[in-house]
Amino acid sequence: MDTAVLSVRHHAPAAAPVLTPAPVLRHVAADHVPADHFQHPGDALFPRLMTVTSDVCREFMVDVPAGVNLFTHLQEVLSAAGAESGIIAFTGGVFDTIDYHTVTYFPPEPAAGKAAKVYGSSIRAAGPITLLAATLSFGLTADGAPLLHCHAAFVDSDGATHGGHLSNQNCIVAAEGVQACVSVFGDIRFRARMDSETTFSVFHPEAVGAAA
Amino acid sequence: MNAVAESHVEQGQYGRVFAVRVRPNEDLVESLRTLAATQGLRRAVIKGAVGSLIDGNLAFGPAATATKVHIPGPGVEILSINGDIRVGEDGQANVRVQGTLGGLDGKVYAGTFVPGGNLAFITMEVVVQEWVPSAA
Repeated sequence: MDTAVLSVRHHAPAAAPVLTPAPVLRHVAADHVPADHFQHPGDALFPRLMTVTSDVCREFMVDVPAGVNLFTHLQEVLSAAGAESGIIAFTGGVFDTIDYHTVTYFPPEPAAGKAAKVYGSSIRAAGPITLLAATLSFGLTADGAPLLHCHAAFVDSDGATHGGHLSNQNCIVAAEGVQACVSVFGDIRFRARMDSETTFSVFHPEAVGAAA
Repeated sequence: MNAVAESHVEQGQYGRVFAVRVRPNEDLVESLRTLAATQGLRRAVIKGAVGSLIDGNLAFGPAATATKVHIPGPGVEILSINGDIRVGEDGQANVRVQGTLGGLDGKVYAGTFVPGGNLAFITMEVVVQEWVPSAA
């Protein structure tokens, strides 16, 4: 990273933000509104709430420098710190590029050999992009490789807000950097495993070490 | 002279950390109430959550006249949450959770999570840490 090049930014007048009404606004009692049930392909599994606890949680503050891919850099930092599983809250930052996904559910088609999926092609936000809030959970794949899962809210150079699942390919940190508060579990592992109920591979908490 | 309201200040430290997977069709706020009841939590803070909802239901404003925002899914993404759990003398858990959601349209919505209105779609990873007051 010795060839740090600051991108040249053209500050063209921003287009007026397009204001669209929120989907549904109505006055209701703020308690207990039932949402719809979603029928997944597989049988429901138990317990419905999987909980693993630990008495140990280490905390780190990380400043992610300009020019790097957020995911590549955090993976290196976590690996160097021996941090296997945990959660990250971001306190701020600016990106030159963010690619992200929103959900479209495609059910499985076993006859065609197609698994269910929720993400299509990514959306690129126009930089510079200011981070509003983001959360990242990290753990291991089924094969033991590091896996980072991040959702973020951010505002682009035109003032439009965006939110979704960040692609781990093209999230490039701008000159201002990105700041992260990292919480590392002592005796808990997030392990991605295939979930037969939904047919997706998702993080499951597991007890390790003294808690196992 | 006007009376000055006094803050309640409590010294303590963070205790046990809980990593939770919430399975599909389970509600975020109800799951936190269940966590408090089954783990004997009196006070806790929510450190974060990543996951998706069937639909999002947020609210803002005073409880009696709250405005509700319905974000249609399935697949509304939880972008950030913060909040706490406080169990009262009556044993009832008061769970307050605020945050931001990303709609299928990629827009950002914010507010308080309505109990019973935010069911997990595929999964939610939620991390909670206990608050342990120092002995008085």
